[in-house]
Amino acid sequence: MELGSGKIALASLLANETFGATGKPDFMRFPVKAKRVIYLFMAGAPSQLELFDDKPKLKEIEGKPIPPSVIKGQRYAFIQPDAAVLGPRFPFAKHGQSGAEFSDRLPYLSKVADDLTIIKSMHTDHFNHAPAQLFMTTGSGIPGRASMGSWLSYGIGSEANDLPGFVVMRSGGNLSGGSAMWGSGFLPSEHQGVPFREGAEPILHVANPKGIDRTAQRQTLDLLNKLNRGSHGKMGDPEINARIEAYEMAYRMQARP
Amino acid sequence: MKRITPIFVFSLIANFQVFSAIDFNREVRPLLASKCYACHGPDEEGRKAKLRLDVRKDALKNDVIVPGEVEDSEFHYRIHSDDPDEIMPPPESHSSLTQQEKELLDRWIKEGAKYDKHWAFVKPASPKVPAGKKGWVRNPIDAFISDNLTKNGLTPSEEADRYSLVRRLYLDLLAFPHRNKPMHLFSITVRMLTKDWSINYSDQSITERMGTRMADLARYADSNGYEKDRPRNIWPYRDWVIRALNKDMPYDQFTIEQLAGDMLPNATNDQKIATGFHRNTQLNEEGGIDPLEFRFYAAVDRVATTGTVWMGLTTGCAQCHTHKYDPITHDEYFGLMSLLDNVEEPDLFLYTDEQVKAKADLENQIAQKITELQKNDTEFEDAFAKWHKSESIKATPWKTLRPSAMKSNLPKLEVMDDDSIYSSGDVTKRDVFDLNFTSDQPITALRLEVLTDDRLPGQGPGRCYYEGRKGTFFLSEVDLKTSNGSKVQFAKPTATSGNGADKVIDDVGSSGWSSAIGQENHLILPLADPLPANTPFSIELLFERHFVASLGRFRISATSSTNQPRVSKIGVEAEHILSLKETAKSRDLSALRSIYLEKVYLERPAPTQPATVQTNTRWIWNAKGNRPQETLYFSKQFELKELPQSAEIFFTCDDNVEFFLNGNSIGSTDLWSKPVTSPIKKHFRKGVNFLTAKAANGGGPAGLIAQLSLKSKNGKVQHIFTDQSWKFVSQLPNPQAKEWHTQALPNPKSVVLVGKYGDGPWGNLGLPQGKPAKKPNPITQLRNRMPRPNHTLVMLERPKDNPRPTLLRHRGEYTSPKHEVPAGIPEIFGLSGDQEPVSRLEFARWVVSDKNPIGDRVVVNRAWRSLFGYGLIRTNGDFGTQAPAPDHPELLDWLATEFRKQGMSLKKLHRLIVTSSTYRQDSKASPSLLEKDPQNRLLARGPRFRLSGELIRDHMLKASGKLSGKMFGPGVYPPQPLTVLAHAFGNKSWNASKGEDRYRRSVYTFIKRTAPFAGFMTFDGTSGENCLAKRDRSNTPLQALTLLNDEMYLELARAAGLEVHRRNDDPVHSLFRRFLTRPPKQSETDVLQTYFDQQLQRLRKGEIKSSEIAADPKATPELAGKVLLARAIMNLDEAITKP
Repeated sequence: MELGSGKIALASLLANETFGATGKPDFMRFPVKAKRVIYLFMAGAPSQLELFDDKPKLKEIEGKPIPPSVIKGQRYAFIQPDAAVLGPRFPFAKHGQSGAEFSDRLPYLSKVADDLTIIKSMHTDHFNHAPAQLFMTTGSGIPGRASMGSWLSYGIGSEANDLPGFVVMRSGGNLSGGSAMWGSGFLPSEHQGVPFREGAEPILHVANPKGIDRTAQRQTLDLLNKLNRGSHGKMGDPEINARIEAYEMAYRMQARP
Repeated sequence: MKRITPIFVFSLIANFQVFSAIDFNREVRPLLASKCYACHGPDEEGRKAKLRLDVRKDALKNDVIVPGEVEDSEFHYRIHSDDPDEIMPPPESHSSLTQQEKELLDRWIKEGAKYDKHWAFVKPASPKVPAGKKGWVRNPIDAFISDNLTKNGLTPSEEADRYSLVRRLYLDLLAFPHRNKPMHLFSITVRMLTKDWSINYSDQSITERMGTRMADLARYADSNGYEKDRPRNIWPYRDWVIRALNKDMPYDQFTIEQLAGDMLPNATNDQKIATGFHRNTQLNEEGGIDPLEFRFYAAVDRVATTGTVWMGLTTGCAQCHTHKYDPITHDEYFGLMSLLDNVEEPDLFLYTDEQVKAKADLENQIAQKITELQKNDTEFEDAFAKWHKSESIKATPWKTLRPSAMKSNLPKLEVMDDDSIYSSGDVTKRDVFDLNFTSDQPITALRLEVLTDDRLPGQGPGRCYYEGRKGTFFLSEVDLKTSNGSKVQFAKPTATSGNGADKVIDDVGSSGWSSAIGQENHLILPLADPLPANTPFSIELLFERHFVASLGRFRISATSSTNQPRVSKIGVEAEHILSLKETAKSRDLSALRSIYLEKVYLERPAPTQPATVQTNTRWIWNAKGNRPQETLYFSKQFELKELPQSAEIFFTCDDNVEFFLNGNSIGSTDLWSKPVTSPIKKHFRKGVNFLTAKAANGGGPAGLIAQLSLKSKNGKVQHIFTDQSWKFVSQLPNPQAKEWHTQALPNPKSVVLVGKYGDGPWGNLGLPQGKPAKKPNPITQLRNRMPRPNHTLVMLERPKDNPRPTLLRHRGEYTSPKHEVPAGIPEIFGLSGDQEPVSRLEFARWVVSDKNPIGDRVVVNRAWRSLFGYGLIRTNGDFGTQAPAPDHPELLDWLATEFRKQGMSLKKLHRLIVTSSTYRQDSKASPSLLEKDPQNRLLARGPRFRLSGELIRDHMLKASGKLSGKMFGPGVYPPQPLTVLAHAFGNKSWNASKGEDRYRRSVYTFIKRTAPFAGFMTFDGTSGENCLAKRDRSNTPLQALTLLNDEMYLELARAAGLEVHRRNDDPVHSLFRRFLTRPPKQSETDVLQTYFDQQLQRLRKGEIKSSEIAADPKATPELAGKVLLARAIMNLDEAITKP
């Protein structure tokens, strides 16, 4: 059975109560140029202080006590008042025409210095894992705000016919910020990130249950479509058609190459 | 901050309703708010050109707006200007006015530029009920709705068919479908709605359904959030909500108890539990956080949540600055915080009535047992007397010291009646207590007792409430100084328990003493040199850790005794009585006896295990040193009053030996390093027994060692071992004859002791170093049965003498404290001085009083939303100036006043709504109606929308016959893939519940904030991180995958298939009715039957396996087919939708 494009595009997703009849958020008067955004969030990576962000002053006062101006009136965990300063461990040098600074730990990346944009103006007071990670991904150290990804999904939408607009891929380690890092906060919840999981089933429940083959699944969908179309004929609720399309998209997501 | 409020709502409304004069609230304010207030609104800091448009008298200044005179108004020119330097809003704001909007504003000026108070801040007056459509109006709701419909040229829809109606009612009120019962139940349903709502099970159900919504508002969760996200115990609060809703607690009481139950006179435990509402904030337990900073964030959340739930306001913006659109200033925001924030946040320990009784019973039993054991043990009194005598000599007399003054960095310290010191109020990661004393006696040592207290986390003795174990403390340093500032040195400190006692005087903050939580211990600090009497001195206690770890309750004592002060493991009371010596009264001694019995006498090491060699067991031979080759015959005679219950022997010899008991060989060894240990079961006899050995040395060192351990029926152990009492001969007339084994040796010699067990050259022979057999202590056994209290998180108003000042935080940042802000309600609410609440309780009473113009509207709007899918005001949480005007303002106000009139009963409110004709309408949307009113704002048809994830699950549980009726208790774990937890930082386990708990109502599902239950999140559920006033209703493929493939739902499809199979019901008809309530139409039956036959055929052919689908190796194709059919029906749009 063919159901047309099956596309659940931004406009139809947004045609809900939040946005009223026009189905577009107020700020979307700008043309959308970005096709996709890839955001690598590398919790536990080497410190920028050893990679991109030289701190000559630290080198200068290495081994000396932390200047009182830094910790005055503050109390930090794990830092004794008499703790000494540690400077950068690796030498830095300027690279490319931009003169971007790299440590010698990045001998290859520094060769393409002029192709990179390095932002050093982002600061946070949060020095504990969870708040800092949440701040990086949602702009707030407290869980519950809309994440960067959900803002993008909200603003740009998704062109994909058979994939969610905002997916989260994870490798290794533990994430202190938890699922709030891809939460949708106060944005409509369909903009929350869909975690792709490790192993054979990257999307939750994308595999058929044991015993149900693709034919059975197709036959089930055909049955559902028939009955749901009947419902639509009777009730006239556009949500029923959206549901039919959602099931078809789910079926396509299940297709393996 | 939930503010995504578009302005086009206005235009929609304008299409529906014809207004003669311009309505400021409805038309002008939203426009000004969204286009102008950002620069010309309440926020002074952001204000441009000193122009303020939200207050009329300011807007009229300088002829910006001249009422009635458009041409004279600068405002008019600015909005119509073509000049980019003049036009308002300015181009860089990326905001502009449409032609229509400009004309509207002109008209508004022409009509006099009237300002009205924002409708939400005007107390609802009971509006006049219109007549409404004749014959259709069941109650005033219908009058308002039909009146409005008529104005818009619409008529109400027909009443829904009875199946839809029953299904709608059941899903809305009971959270599960009506199932498989004759339709006359419909009349019961209606009765239930119209009469007293007294059917028990439905009561519970509706409250569990409402409980889920309350949990959303309360941001209820079972874990702390943030990185560690450890489990927390606050489900008693959730149960309180369900119970309160169940008995239809009036909403004002329901509110007051949640916000300030602890402050009510003689507050009950239940009222205290209710204050858990604001303990549902998240708790960061990461090492090294500043606990007060995250306390502040929790306070911020409390203001926001209170604003959303009870005031209909998004107050969040004013955390950082004066609100741009709404009249809430930065100061007023902190005024609200001040009302809510004068609190302690303790755990409340809860004993059930049964537990209280059990505790009293056990205490009785213990007292009895102590008396009984003392009386029946003939050795006890002697043992006690002996112990008392020797211990009295060593005992130290201690005198508690009462501080003359106390200081701390932040916590409040107070002296209790028993001279102990109790700490309350805020704590930090580095607390310092400074206590001043003078003693009229010289001091040779100090004693610090750490005490438990039910008011402390984990019952103390410490105040740690995050990161470490609750109740932990960590004493880093103790400093003793005389009043002239000279430091007094300590000798080595010791403690009854715990690590690091000697580290409290090492001048290193990161090392120190800590002992077990929930236990009382003490630390003894001997002074290097005595402190003379009457020397004022101070003791400084420093608690420094990467988490809060100061003591919550403790006591300091001193002694002048020159005895070596010692820790008293059996407690300070025993030490005290012992130190009284002759002056001890008989009451004291009786108490001491009990302590001695329990803690010393019953704990005395029992006789050692057989493998353990007695200290008096010796190596014996005929002489010490190197011996020639020789054979010796050893004999030991002993008496037995009765046969032993069990016996074990250990022996060896350098070089070989054979042992006999009463003439029977019981073992031998020919290598000293291979000792024999073996049980002996027979050959004993009452009366005289002989243990004999034929031992030989091959030259060099020689020795024999043996120990026979006998255990009697009453558990007494007796040892026979090689010592001086053994006899030997080197020659026997006839070694083969049995005689020498069973009578005294002829002309025996006494043995020579050649060594102790363990001596060289033999060493310990590789025997296990057995531990003394610990006899269970019957008193301890009884104590272990003491019921452990449950606990929950609550609020507690701080004492009057230790209020928490609330500081305005510049830009809402914790690190930028400014001036102190007094408690108060924003001015817009129009309270005069003496009406203004100044405490949390007064605030709670105000929010539910008729003085709060918004409160009642918020409640009825929420109820309306839960039943119709949309609120009468769509934002649900936010009634502020940017919120669209209500769809049915008069109805909203009528419901609000009616709600109050009817005693603020939520059940009555729900009943009122569901008994309306409006609610009963068919939800069919004709194309023309859909075009005219796509979102059903005018309600010309009934509500139709997808159920929440929780409700879908509850509904499927019920329909498949699996739903458990069990209520209350800790969160449970329905099945979900473990990968859901994979990204969480902390505990990744999700041990799916077994049995009944697997099928409980969704409101009991354990909510883990950093990895919330996937089955709910996929359907727009919440993680409990923020207060959620309204859920979205998305429609995504992930939902399809969940319903199709999630094991949780598959299990239910199997259960439903099996039940239908067992009952031999018609599968299509029966399953359809179970999940959709109504019977299928013929066309639907045909399609479903075809599907069923199709699957059956494939199952029979083995193309798909019955055993796999039904998860049962013996499943027939018929059963599996029914499972597939159930699964298909569960995936129908109608199955997850309110009809």
